[in-house]
Amino acid sequence: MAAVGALVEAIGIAFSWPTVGLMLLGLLLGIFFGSLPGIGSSLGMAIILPLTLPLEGISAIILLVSIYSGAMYGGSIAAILVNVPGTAAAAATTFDGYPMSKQGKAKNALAMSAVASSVGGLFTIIALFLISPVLVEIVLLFGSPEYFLVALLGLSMITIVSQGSMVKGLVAGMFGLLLTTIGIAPVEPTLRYTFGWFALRDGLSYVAALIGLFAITEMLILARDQTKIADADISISGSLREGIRDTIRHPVTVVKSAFIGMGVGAIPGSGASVSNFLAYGEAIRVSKNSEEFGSGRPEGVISSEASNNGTVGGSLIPTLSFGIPGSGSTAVLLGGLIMHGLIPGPDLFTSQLAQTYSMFVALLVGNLVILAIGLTVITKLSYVTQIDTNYIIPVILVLATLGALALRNNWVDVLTILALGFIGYYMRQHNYSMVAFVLGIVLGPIAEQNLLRSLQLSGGSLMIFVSKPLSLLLVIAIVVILVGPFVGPRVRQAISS
Amino acid sequence: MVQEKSDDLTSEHALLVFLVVVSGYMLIRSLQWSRTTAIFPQFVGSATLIGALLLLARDYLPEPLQTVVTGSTSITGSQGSEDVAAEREKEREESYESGIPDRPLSPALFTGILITLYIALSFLFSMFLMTPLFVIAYLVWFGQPWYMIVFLTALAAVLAYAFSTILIVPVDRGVFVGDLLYLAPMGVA
Repeated sequence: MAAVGALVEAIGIAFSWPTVGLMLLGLLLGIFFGSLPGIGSSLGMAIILPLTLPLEGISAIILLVSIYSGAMYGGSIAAILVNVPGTAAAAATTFDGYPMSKQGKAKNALAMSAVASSVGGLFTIIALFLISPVLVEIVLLFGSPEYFLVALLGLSMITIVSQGSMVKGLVAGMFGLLLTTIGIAPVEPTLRYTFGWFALRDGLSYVAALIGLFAITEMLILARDQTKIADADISISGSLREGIRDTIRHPVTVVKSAFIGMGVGAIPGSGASVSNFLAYGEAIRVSKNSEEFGSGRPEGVISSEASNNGTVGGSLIPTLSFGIPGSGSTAVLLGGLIMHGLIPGPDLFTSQLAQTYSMFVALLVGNLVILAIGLTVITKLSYVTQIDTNYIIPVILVLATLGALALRNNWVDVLTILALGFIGYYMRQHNYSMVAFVLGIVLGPIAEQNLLRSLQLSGGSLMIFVSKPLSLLLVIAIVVILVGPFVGPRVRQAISS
Repeated sequence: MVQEKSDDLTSEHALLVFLVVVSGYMLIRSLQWSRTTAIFPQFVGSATLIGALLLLARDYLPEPLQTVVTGSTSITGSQGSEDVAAEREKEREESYESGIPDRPLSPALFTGILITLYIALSFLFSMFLMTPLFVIAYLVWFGQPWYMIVFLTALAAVLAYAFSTILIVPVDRGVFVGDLLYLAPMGVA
């Protein structure tokens, strides 16, 4: 009954003014950011984050999740029309989307993308509503030791899920955690690493860090690549109706891909950049015409697009329950939640359930809006995908710098975006996991507080982390995740020989 | 951002040396505090330091340890898809054309220097004055048409003004200039 009451209240919140306007604005901004190659949801959300400061908490969060959801769909527009995915989440959409455009079926592909994104998103958000009571029960089992261990588990999973050296991922995550120790200590009033500089007393702003890592780093990379899309001869032809019909003819692909996206999204660090390939691979696996994939098969577009919007719902599970973001975008969302006083954990599913549900309602409605926009105006706005990146870069850099100063009127934040922008650039260049780095920065204060609270409870004994079955299980999981990939093959080899 | 030849060889080494120095300093500094204050920085500082040192010395490590340090792992099973993606990326590159005018600095290096100058000069002379100059400098360097330079410069100036008046950000103040927009009549101290 409490859930029903919260749902009614949530609907009221989501449809109140200006929240509903912010939701629509967020979707439009998200579609815009998503459709610009190289921009995407994380950067868009990071740029907008400081601007949400004057907004009411839940309105700000609804704006951010709407950008996230819109960008997931927006990424497909450039993928279909110019063979350049607006975001990594739409990379698999290029495989069949662009060939369809070349065959004069751009409208079909855009319609498939809109319907599959929308339906995939709707199914997974409904699933999120249904599983939220179970989530409450799980989250309530967690105390301070478990929260600290979950933070470590999240970091460990990111290092293993992301491609490349695991040690690099761990170093990135730990360095992120280390940066959060600058400023006043959480329990005792000791100033750490401030060099007597008062401006550093409150530490580095994680929002500034997010802006640096997503906006400055990304713009440096865009500037480095300096590529522009050749004047592609895009003719938006085809039939929206046929595209809708094709999508409806593949209900299993839509639903299965959406839930693949949801499942992958729930794993910290993986996100839509992985799920769209997995769903695409699964669509090929079950198809009787697998050899036709890559030449304009509808299932190729449908699977990729249903999965990336499905990821949104999945990635909210660890973000809202444990404060472990599933991707860069949810790391920014987590930053927004904390900035607006909404702390992930049991409260979001008990005393603040209405606020949490209003986020889900906004996503639900947002998916319907995506459908409407996708089937009406998108075909007329294709030129957005061809905006020269050199027009975008200076504007984003200006917005990032102004936004950093707006956070606390503190020049330390401006220096933070610059320094972390450069560090992030080199980390990206050498395949250090940015998500792990970001997660470390966002999770640092929560992890330290839970560590210290656990040690206070145990009188300083580290045994508290293995004394209860749940915490012991988490410790084992961390060890298995970190050691398993190296020991596992040797054990298997020993057994087989 | 640094020269191509030395990119792979030294920029990662520089990054790792930076991590070693920073984490080493933070670790040593933490020894002066109480256990409660120091335990977390010591834990994460040690992990960063050890990891960075291992990466720095990876070419000289015994083979089993080297495999652990450099080995890549994936539980997503998306490696195959990544190969497909790489293949498609190659095809996609054919639809690109380079838009770089001949310049003595690489685009990323120029952008890095320009954003650093923008921030430093904004601190001295205010963001309100420096923002349009930054946009003009960027767009002129990359050879953009004059009408876009005018439009984007105006847009940037409007953005700076909006931050100042709506979000009350002191963009009109620097070390050598103050209150350019004279916010006091609008109720701002």
